[in-house]
Amino acid sequence: MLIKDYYTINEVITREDGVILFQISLRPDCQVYQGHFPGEPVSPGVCNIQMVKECAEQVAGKPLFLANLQQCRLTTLVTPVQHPQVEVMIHLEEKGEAYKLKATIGKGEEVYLDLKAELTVIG
Amino acid sequence: MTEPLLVGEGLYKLIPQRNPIVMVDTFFCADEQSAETGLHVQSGNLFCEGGFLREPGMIEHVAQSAAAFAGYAPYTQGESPKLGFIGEVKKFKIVRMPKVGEFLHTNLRVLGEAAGVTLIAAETKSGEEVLATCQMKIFIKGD
Repeated sequence: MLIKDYYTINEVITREDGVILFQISLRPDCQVYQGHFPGEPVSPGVCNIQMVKECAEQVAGKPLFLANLQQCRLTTLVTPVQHPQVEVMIHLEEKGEAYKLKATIGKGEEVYLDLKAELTVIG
Repeated sequence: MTEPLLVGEGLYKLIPQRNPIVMVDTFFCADEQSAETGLHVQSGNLFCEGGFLREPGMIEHVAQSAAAFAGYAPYTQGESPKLGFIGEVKKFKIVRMPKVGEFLHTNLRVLGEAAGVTLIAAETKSGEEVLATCQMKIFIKGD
């Protein structure tokens, strides 16, 4: 985990359609909230993108490089206080030396972030 | 290179982020449609791992560069910076990750503005080498 203590994975569920669902707790004690923002904790969008990437790495079973974040929409401000539990959905497709990733962060029917990206294998 | 307008904690006049997540430490210049910013990549950086600034750090550097740009006009009028949030990141292409010790120099350009949302294009270089390019939509939170 790049950002220490940012989240905890509680459960990983593989759905029949191939989507991998990560049930995650966002940790309000992470040091990033000291600065983002003082007295007003908001989960940094880039930390959520990193969390999605780390879930994708767990699915791929290898470290990946975020070579092209084609699109990432951040539709809801996520905070560890208002959104202590979130679901990360990963759809990862291997394409030669690279992976195509489609992912969301949300809860139930709600989507807080959705992204499309191309990841390459490091090394 | 021209003398920067603000460096280090001087940037706190432009951005609401504080350590450990301050990802811009140099503000070279700005006009209404563009700005130039920079970051010294240091080993203690929250987003550094194995001697490299990792991908989210590069994205956050651009996001905070945009925040600093948004904060510059209020600053010149004696106002404090407002909270800004990334609404959308598009086409963020990373050629390579910078190493600790490199200096990132970012050029921002406004592509459009509507209803509190600013669309910017950014290019981050180390020396003459382009490391990353992207587009970003930034929301600035009102009072």
